[in-house]
Order: sequence, then structure tokens, then C-alpha cells
Amino acid sequence: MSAAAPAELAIAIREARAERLRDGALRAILVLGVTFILLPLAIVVVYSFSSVAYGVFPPPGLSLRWYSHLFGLAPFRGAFVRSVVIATAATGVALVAGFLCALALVRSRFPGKEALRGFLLSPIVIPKIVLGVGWFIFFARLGLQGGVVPITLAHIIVVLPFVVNILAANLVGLDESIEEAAQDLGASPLRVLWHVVLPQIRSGLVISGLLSFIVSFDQVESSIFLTRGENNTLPIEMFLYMEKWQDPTIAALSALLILFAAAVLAAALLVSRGTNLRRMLGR
Amino acid sequence: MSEHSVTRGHGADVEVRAVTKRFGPVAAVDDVSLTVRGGEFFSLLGPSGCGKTTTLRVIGGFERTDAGEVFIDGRPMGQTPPNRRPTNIVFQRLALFPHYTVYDNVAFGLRMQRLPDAEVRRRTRDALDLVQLPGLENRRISQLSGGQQQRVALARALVNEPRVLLLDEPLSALDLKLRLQMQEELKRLQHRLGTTFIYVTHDQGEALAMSDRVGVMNAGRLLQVGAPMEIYERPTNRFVANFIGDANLIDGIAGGVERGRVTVRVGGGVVGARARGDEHAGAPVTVCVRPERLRLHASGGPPGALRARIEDRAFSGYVIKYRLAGDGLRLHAAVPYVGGAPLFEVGDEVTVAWDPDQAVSVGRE
Ligand SMILES: Nc1ncnc2c1ncn2[C@@H]1O[C@H](COP(=O)(O)OP(=O)(O)OP(=O)(O)O)[C@@H](O)[C@H]1O
Ligand SMILES: [Mg+2]
Repeated sequence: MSAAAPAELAIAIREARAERLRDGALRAILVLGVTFILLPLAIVVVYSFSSVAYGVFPPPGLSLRWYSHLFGLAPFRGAFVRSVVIATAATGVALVAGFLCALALVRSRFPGKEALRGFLLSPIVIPKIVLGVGWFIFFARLGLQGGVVPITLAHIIVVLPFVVNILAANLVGLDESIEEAAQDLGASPLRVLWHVVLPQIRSGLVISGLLSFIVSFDQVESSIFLTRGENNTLPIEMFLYMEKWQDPTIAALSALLILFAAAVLAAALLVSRGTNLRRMLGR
Repeated sequence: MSEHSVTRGHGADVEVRAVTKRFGPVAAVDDVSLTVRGGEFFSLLGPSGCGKTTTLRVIGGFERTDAGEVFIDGRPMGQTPPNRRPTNIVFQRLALFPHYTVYDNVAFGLRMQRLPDAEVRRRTRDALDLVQLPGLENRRISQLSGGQQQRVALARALVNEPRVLLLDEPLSALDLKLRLQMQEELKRLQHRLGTTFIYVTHDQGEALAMSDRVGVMNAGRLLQVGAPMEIYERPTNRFVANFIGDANLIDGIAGGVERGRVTVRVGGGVVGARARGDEHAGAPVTVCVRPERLRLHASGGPPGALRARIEDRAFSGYVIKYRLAGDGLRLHAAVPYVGGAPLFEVGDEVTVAWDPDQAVSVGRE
């Protein structure tokens, strides 16, 4: 025991050091990753408070002039409202349609099910710009030149795959005998859906709804052919503004959008208290 | 509980008529016919996989039958969904609502009936008291032990006071003491409300003690239905004789049949039993005798008695169990233990006999 002790001690020390090193490395990678994500956002926020009109970083002085300039621009206000309306409508429709699709894919057996699954997921892999051109031609043939309704329809198709995929994954995990129990206790199929199925997939609904909203809100390529000057969505309005001006107005708008996104996320967390979303976010 | 529940609680008649249910090539339920009277306590017994759960699920409306029909109070159920049948089921796999508390699980059925809040509260509390779970109302299902979950499942079904209660091994996860208490509570409840109980269990003691009648199943078929004592005394075939209680099954050749009795040649002896009715001289038959019906004699015994040697002896309180071998037979005997009476020793040669009225011929299949 006496002869072996120093050697064992040395091994223990070396192991402890290796472990500390590994922990340190992991922490460093985490910090790097988070920085990588947050840095551009931080730059945008700082830049939005610039006191000058030209793009220089760090800004020579701080001011709120770009915020007041932004609030004076009516097109942005209209575009923001339009984008929120479109994203909300697209999310709502996609949640209902996506839930029904997912239910069919998970619960029923019919020929061509796999083909349908692939078809429902296909909008993810097709370039959005191609979809945009397609819709432009399609709606033009219908005599619709673009506007809120065609854009909403286009967005529904873009976000549907996310909803179907997330909800199908949720539904696969459900124990059908729990629904049988509810039915046995007197619940009609609709009440089984409301009291038993939907509550159990609540986190999936929140996550896919959130994702749909964000994806729709952020759409440029698929929408750009469907707008007509007076009814631009916010990202397109920003795009057009930036083509003409390079002042920090867009940075100010972006800072506000970051705030908006954080608020939406916080609201979603509140809604899904105690469900998977919280766990997913490590809370 | 309330006046209303007593009048409503009259159990319904249940008739299963020639029902077959297949899963692929397997007939889980094979041409089963069964009539359970309103207010009766009926148990289904049988080995694992014999179709007990499937039978209950057919009655509850969860399985589409391949043939046959279920009638409740004479009304054909057809494709009537479970929520419109006067039945509630305690599932073998419980199927509790994971997203609800204990209280909300139990209250679910009452809420689906849109009963007033006060009544929901009162009846839910009563049901939780009955299964001895007060104080756990606000727990989530995942925070309960297996036995507690099983009692929630029981409460969730019986709180509705259905006309027919289908119970699929509802007490299997409970310890002996609690199980006996629950048996008593169930029996009392069933009596008070007059509910029809169809009860599946692996515990034959439970089935024999609680039931008005018992049905024994094997491989999808219903082999015999009768009062517990009748099944024990007059099993109509080998499987039932073996499955219910302990049995000595003795193969032999039928001699004469006379006044309901058959004589059977076994090895070097001739024994008697009640006839089943289809025996004829020279045909192979099996005689079933319960271990406690065997009489052991040190010597002599009636003419034709079998000879055997004591192989093993075990003391278990009020009976002495002997294992015997001889005449090509292996037998079990259970003799009441009376303190001080002389016992047989291992190795003793004895004669074995029984009153022919205490044995029954069960055919050969
Ligand atoms: N959904 C199903 N799909 C395929 N086979 C099934 C299904 N349900 C039951 N079976 C089969 O039907 C037969 C009867 O099953 P059942 O569950 O009724 O048995 P049981 O008597 O309740 O058994 P246990 O005592 O083990 O609960 C079994 O062979 C089983 O494998
Ligand atoms: Mg079963």
C-alpha cells in the first residue's frame, strides 16, 4: 500500500486535472457559441443608437434619432401590422390543417401514406424563390395580383411541413388507450380531442405555432412576387428601404423586432408552463 | 350515495352471443356465448393470453367483432361506441390521464355527464375515500405508486355508478391486506348499487370467494360457466378441473355406468366417480378427485382401493399435505391436521380410496 500510494495519487491528480480541463473546454465552447449567436444582434442594437447617418462601427456618438425617424415612416407601421396579421392567420390555419394531416399520417392506414408524407414535407426542400415564382404565375392566372390573402396562402404552405412534422412526432408518442378511457367515461370523439389529445400535445402546438409565426414573419423570397408596393410585408419593406438608404433606421427596427421576438417567446413559455418547451429550454 | 344513484344503479343484463374476435390468424375470442344477469357478480378466469381482456373490450365497445353480437338489456349494441354504452371499464393497463391530477382523473366521467359541481365534488371525494386515497387529490399520476394508480383507475370507473362495470384485474398491484379490503368494498358496493360486475382476475381465490358465477376460458374459448362451488365440484373437462383448485387427474378405462356413477379401472384397482354422461364401457376416461377428498388407510380399505407409498409430507397449519406414488400414479392428498393424531411417515405403504360421490369423471380431452 505504501509503495503504490504515490503512483495512485499521481493518477488521481492527473484524472482530476483532465476532468477540469474538459469542463473548461466545454464551457469555453458554450460561451463561444452563444457569443457567435448574440454578437451580430448586439452590434445591431448598438448601431441603432448611432448619432450619425453613415455606417461606422463603433458609432462616434449615441442618440435616439433613428428611432424617432423610424416612427415617422408610415410604411413600416403598416407593413408591421400586415406581417403580424399574415403570420397569425398562416399559423392558425397551419395548426388546424397540420394537426389534421398529422393525425391522418399517424393514426390511419391508407395506400400512398408515405407518398403523402413526402409531399407534405416537400415545401421545405424546394427553394422558396421557386415557390414564389410559381405562386406569382398561379395567382396571376386566377386574376389575383397579390396582396394579403395570396401571401397568407403561400405562407401556410411554407410553414405546414414544420407543423405536420412536430405534431406527428408528438402524436406518435401518445398512448391511444388513454383516449379509449376518455371515451369509455362518456366523452364524445370531439371532447376526447379537446380534453385528452390536445392537452397532451400542448408543447408541440406551442413550438410549432411559434416556429410557424417566426418563419412566416421572416419570409422574403416567397412573398416578394406577391406584393404590390402598397401592401408590402415588413421584411420586404426593410429590404426595399435598404436598397435606397444605408442609415441605421433598419438597425433601430431590428432592435425592436428582437424585443418583439423575446416577448413572443416569453409569452409562449408562460402558456406552456410545465411542459416540454420549458424542459427543452433547460428551465 | 344518493337516491338517484340507487334507482339508476340497477345492473343491466349482458349477453354475449357467439362472439368471435380475430387478430390476424389468432382467434383471441372464439365463438363465446355468455349471459350475465343484471346485478350479478361474474368472474372470468383463465391463463394469460386466453382472451379475457379481449372479451371485456368487446363488451365495452372497443373491439369490432368478426362474428356475433353483444346485447345489453336485450338491446343489440352493434357499433354503439363506448361512450354510449352503459358500461365503464377498469383497464388492465389503467390508461389514466397523465395530464390530470388524481382528482381530475376521477371526476372526468361525472364532468362528461355535465353534473353540477357540488355533486361532482361529493361523489369524487366519496370514490377516493372508498379506494382509500384521500389526501392525494392534487397529485399527478406520475407521482403515484403502482398500487395507488390502480386504485385511481378503480375509482375513476366506479364513481360513475355504471349499470355494468367491467374490471380487468383491478386489484393485481395491491398488497394482500389492501386487496382483501378492496374486495370487500367492491362486494359491498356491488350489493348496494346492484351493479352488474364482470370481473377478470388471475387470482382464483378472489374469483371463487367474490363471484356469483365464474366462467373459465382457455385459448379463446369459454369452457365452463357455473357457480364457484359447481365448477369446483363438477368440472366438465380436464382443463377446468386442473385450473380451478388442486386436482388429482387419474386416467383409466371406464367399466360400467350405473345410476350416475361410473366405475373406472386404474392400474391394479377399481375406483368410482360421478359420471359425466358420455362414458361407455371400455372407453378411456379421466377421474378428478380433489386432494382433500382422498382417504388414506394404513391397511385394508375398501375393495379395489389403490395402493401407494408416501413420498413426501408437508405440514401447513390446518392440513397435512402428502405426496404419493404407486400403481403408476402420482397423487396429492390433503388431510386435516388434528393435533395428536398419528401421521403417516415417508415410505409408508398406504391404500388410497374416496367416496365415489366425491369424484367426477371429466372425459379425456
Ligand atoms: N391488439 C392486439 N393485436 C394482436 N393480438 C392481440 C391484440 N390484443 C390481444 N391479442 C392476442 O389475443 C390473445 C388474447 O389476448 P387477451 O389480452 O384478451 O388475453 P388475456 O386473457 O387478457 O391475458 P392476460 O391474462 O395476460 O391479460 C392473445 O394471444 C394476444 O396476444
Ligand atoms: Mg388481460
